[in-house]
Amino acid sequence: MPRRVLIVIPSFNEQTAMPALIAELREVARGLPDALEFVVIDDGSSDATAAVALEQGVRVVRLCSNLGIGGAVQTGLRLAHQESFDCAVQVDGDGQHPARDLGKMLAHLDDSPAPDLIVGSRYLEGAGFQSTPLRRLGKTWLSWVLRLSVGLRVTDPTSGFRVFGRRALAVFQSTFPYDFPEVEALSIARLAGLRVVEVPVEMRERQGGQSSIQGLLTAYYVLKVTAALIIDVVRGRRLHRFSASPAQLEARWKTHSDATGSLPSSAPASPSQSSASSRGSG
Amino acid sequence: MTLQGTLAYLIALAVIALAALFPSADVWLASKMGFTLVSNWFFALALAALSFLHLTALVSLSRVELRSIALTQKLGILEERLERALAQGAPAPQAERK
Repeated sequence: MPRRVLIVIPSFNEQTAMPALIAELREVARGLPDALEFVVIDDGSSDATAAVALEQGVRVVRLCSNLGIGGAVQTGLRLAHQESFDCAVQVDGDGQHPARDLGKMLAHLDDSPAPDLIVGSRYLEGAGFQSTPLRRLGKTWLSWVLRLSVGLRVTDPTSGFRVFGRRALAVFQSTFPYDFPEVEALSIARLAGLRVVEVPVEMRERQGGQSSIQGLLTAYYVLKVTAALIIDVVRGRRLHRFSASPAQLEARWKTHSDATGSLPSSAPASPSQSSASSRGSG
Repeated sequence: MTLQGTLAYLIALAVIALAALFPSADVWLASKMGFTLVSNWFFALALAALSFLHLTALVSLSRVELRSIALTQKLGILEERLERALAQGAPAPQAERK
């Protein structure tokens, strides 16, 4: 039975890049054994992003106000969780993420032990667009803080090209950072006992729209995320309520009524039962 | 304002009234706390109270924001499902009239 995959495309004023991105994803989807569905999360765009996406025949969730990238991504993850998808893939609406690497990332779901969160890394092999020197410096700093705070080694913590397995969907539909979420989401995943792996991908420059992190905001971004990582560690014990063995989470997944849109309440599992995060193949 | 906030203000007013009625108690308390001037003790107390109120207001605001985000997400998802159902020929929901 093919795996049901929801491709989540969070978008804010991305009408220019949208048609090419969806066409490219569709082209790749034809060659995959999985059943792919697409949903564009229109994060309160002022341009015709939603209309353009609808013209392409994909599902469009329109948010009535701008929630930011975290709120938009979580909307897609909630949708995937509520509709019992096997996994969700975050692909940014700016066209930076190459669809051709989608199959390679999804194939890692069959690894044993299966990863819960797969991150596409542009730095593992160093191919393709490598971002600006200032951003690479920020990325290095955040990788270091992430390693120190939760012991997770990743080369591209700011990558938004990710595959969320069922356990990750169960965690993130309930808890997901809203401002600058990529790095903090990794911290939450680690604290929740999810297995995180990195897969090398070749990214491109954005195909349209504008980055929300520019100029002085880059420094603010690094500072804010660093503070968020420290706070996560302090309040990390709370996150252990998500730590359960894959079998336990699978059982909860099957029995939980999706009507509530939240995790079922149950006794917290021992942290020792959770699988350890690790740096993945590549 | 919430009931808790109203009660907090009433209690604060009662404390201020008591402090005005019994100044000797203020002088004793201020000296015990290490303040030379009683007025400085009041300023410090007022600053601490305002900081606490500001913090609690920020926490409340943060909770409201999280609820607002959850509602926006839920609204978007439900709207999308409704539009899809209508496109597939489901009857349009009727507004309830009183």
